[in-house]
Amino acid sequence: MNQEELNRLKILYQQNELDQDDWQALETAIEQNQIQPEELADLNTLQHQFSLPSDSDTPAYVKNKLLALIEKEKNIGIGSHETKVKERYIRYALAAAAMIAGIVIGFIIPNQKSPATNGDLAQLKQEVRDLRETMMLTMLKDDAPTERLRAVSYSYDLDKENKKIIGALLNTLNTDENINVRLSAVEALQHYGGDAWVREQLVKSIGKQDSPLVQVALAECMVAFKEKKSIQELEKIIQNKETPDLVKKRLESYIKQI
Amino acid sequence: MQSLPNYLTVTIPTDNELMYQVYSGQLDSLGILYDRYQSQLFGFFKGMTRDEELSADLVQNVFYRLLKYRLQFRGGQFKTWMFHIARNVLNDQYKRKYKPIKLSIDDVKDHISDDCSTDDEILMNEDIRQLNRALAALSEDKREVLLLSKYQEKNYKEIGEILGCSEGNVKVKVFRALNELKTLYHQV
Repeated sequence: MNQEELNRLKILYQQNELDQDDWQALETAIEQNQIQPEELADLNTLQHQFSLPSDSDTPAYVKNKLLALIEKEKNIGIGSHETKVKERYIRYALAAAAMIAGIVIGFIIPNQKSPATNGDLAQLKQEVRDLRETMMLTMLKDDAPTERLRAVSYSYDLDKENKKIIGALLNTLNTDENINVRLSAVEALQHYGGDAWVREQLVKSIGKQDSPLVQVALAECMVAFKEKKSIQELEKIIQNKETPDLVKKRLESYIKQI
Repeated sequence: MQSLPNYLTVTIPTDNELMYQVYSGQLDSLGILYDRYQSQLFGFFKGMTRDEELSADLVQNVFYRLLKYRLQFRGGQFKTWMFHIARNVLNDQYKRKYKPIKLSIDDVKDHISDDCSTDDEILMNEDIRQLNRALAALSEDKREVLLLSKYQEKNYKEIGEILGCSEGNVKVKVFRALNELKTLYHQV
């Protein structure tokens, strides 16, 4: 639409003389950014008047309730996630230790007349480990995130060479829908950092994560391992437009530390 | 002009910086965002529902959801995301029980003029009051687009993101709404 036609439409609008076709043409011009609603004088005045600040504040009790909610969330939310997970690990470790001690005592006392051999004890320990491994792998498939978190925590007591456990933890890290479970998996896998293959899998996992929290947790791992192969993956996240600025800054600082 | 030494400059965090702080566990930053936007949200909800008590509850719900869904913040303009949530909160409210009835011009003349009893409204000049009466008689979708254009400061692209339509489409909606408002303004 040329300028002359646009001016004609504006004048007709001001004079309230637009017919149906002109009205349609005016709307098209507005839609195509050729005329702004504000350019139509009386609408501009009305819009300006409408836009004047006239708002009052929300009653004070609303903010008080929000502050109370924030305090409550601090105790249960992601903010205290690390502490909570650590506390949980300690609880589970104690429970596991008590269970093993109970089984060992139960096994030794009835046989005191003929003391258990080292071989018997080793077999018993292996059975307990197998049991825990089965439990852990089963619980990792549970629908409830709390159960999956428990499962990840069980890995701490299991054999560090066990590929089945490492594989399950990596699978959890890459596929679990719950961020807290994935964060726990990162934490657990950090203990396997001596294994070059695990480090390689952790580097690959960086590109599979969509949560900035998990990306940052993995980057922290890479700093701890001084894993230079991760730099390329971390740079990809930094270049991604959707990555929050704060995360980008954090990753840039981690890359420098690697 | 000489710039201030570093120790004298105060950096005011942007909305997004504050929201990322909330995101990463510094939940108190949500209080600052509340102070920045409670009044605008309250105005938006009052404009939509004409009910102060309900509007205060809805503002509270918006911040409750910002807290609950903080890990879903994926960048973009915080304010746009917040108004997106505000619309959802309002729609959920409508689904539950409350659906405002569109007022006729006569209703507005009787109802709104009697209702101007709060301090704010008494202080409000006659033009603004007349405008609010006209606004109350607008259809819900037109009222919404005008209120969003007010609180999003005519950023039609952002409004388009909130409403799920193109920038051009928003402009046409605003144009139509302003036209109807103009007509109603002269009637009330």
